[in-house]
Amino acid sequence: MDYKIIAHPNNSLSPKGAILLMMALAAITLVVGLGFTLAGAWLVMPFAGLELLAFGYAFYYVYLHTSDFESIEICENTVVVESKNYKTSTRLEFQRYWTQIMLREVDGGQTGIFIGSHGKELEFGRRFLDDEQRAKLTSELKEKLRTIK
Amino acid sequence: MSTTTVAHHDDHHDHHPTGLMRWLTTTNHKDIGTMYLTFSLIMFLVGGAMILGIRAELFKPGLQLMKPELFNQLIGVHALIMIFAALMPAATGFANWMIPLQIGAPDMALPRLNNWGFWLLPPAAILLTLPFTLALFGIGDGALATGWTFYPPLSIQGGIGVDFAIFSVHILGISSILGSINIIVTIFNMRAPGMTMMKLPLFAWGWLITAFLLVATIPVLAGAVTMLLTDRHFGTHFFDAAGGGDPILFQHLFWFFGHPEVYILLLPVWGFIPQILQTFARKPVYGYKAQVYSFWAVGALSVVVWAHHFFTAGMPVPALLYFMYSTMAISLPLAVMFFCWIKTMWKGSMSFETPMLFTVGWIILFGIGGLTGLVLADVAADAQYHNSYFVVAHFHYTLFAGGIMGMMAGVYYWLPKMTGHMYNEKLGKLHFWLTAISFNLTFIPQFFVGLAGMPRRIPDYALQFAEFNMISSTGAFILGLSQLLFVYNIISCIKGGEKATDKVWEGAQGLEWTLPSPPPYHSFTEQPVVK
Ligand code: HEM
Ligand SMILES: [Cu+2]
Repeated sequence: MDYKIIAHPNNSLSPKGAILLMMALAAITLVVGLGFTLAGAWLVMPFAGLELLAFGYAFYYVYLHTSDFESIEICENTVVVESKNYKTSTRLEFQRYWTQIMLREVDGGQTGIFIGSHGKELEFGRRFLDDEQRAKLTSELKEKLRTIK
Repeated sequence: MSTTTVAHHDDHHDHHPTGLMRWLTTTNHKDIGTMYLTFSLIMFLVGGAMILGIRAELFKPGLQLMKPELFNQLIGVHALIMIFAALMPAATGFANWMIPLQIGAPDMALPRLNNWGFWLLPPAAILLTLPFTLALFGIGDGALATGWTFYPPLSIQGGIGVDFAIFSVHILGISSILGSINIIVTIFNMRAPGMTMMKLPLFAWGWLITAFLLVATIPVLAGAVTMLLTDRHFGTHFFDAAGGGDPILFQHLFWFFGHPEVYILLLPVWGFIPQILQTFARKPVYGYKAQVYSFWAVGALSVVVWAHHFFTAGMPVPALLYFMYSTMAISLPLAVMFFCWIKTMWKGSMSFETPMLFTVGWIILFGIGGLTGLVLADVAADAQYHNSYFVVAHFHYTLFAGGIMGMMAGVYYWLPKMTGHMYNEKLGKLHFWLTAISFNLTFIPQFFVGLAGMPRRIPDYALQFAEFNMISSTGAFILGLSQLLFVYNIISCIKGGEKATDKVWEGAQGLEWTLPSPPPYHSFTEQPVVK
């Protein structure tokens, strides 16, 4: 491997932290809900429950995506582009010599990095990079493809 | 060479439609922030127009313009719109724009949910105001006429306006919860490496506490209005004394939500005010930790003081004392914050661009709001002031000065960042002075008529209050018209104007000022890690 770049989310909340946070939220909501139920206003409870379900789902969703990433690897003869989005993993290999890197305008005036050869093409850097970083990465990739041998 | 086909993952960034579809489907935090802020501005004008109708009616004693029923409806809908459709969305709009930028995240954690959170708002606003239109066609008797507080038995006897308002509140509640989920998850999970909790910008901290308060209180509000609904239509008697229920229970439920709500609206403002102060005093924020702890203290206290809103409803004396002292205790963390704001300016090299003018004006006027709150917190005094115009003046110093004028400071502060252009500074300053002066002209007289015994929510009043009401109405019209300057300044700033630099303000600090103005469509995405 000559060169590899990986873009992935930072996940500043650990799974353990997520559980603690969820427990704190549940504690707040349930104490309030129970208190009012005791005072006769039991209809607070269903809403408290719905709210906690929504939170639970949100944390679960985030958890499922913790190991998402996108990567480009430049090897001796190939360029390998991988990405993972929840369960969908993709991997595409190009012949290094023929690989072209292009920065093109896409819908909405943004740029996208396109990697391709032989009529196959793939977009990179949509999820974790912005325009500026994409521009930088494009020139870097072009450079690397040419120079490292 | 082996290949697999690239499944086009269902991802929110895949294509970028233009025109109306872009706004309907967008999951970009800045687009959504912009929609929240735009919606907020529009509803601010709608709610303002309603209350000018009220002030026109109150210009002179006697009934001139409208029937008392319509008067009551306009007052209640004005308040609900200002709280839920103007202030709340302004805070959420800034959160969407700035929190990802400030904590170094590529976007909000749950972009699609974010889109839903916004698009629930317009239907809710329509539901709330539709009964006015329906009444014109002879359907129903107009919007809810109970004031924004929905007290039974009036709300149980009221017409379809109450039902519409109940559904509207449900939808608004869902929207708020979706927003809170997103903000909590974003702040906890999407921070850039090195951005620890105790390095979070105060705005993010303020919003985090706001989100926790929403989580604690929205289910109570939703439950309370649902119980109203079942009392109205399904034969329950939660709040009906004749059926063994208790109307005061509703007041407990409502204010358990309603009191924290006022801090829900203000915590985000308390978050960005120090950032503005530090920018224009060219000194770092004084007492960052003290302010974070004060946020926590206010947040915690705010859920245990609710009954100060109905001291006069009848409570055991120990309860009265408890709610009096706990309410007064809120002024302690507030005093800490005031101290920190002043100390941040102390001996700074200050300049008074529009955001700073609004901020300094904000500190003074919000201070008056807090102090008059203390007056009301006194159980003995409140027996006199409750339900009088004094209360109205108090909460406008906190919510118009403390809330809306704070948001205006934020708008002027961040607008150049968001649009890439400078606003018109002269117009901005003119807007500030007109707003500050006419605001006081409107509300100082209300303290006086309140002390003299003029009750709130009445379309007619005794002759002795005539002069002060005339002054107040005059102030209100100047205040309302001045806001057109604000709208004009914003629109021309979006359309063009002098280019803003990335940093915009000489003394600006924080991650959001390191991005180009306006920031790229996706900001601060994860820095590629090069191995
Ligand atoms: C130390 C600070 C404060 C104290 C001690 C305080 C105390 C009170 C009390 C006792 C009342 C009830 C008066 C009555 O109805 O007889 C009241 C009403 C009210 N306060 Fe405050 N307050 C404070 C700050 C605030 C802030 C910061 C806000 C808003 C952001 C606010 C918003 C309101 C509103 C909206 C009402 C009236 C609600 C209604 O009846 O429609 N207050 N305040
Ligand atoms: Cu209160």
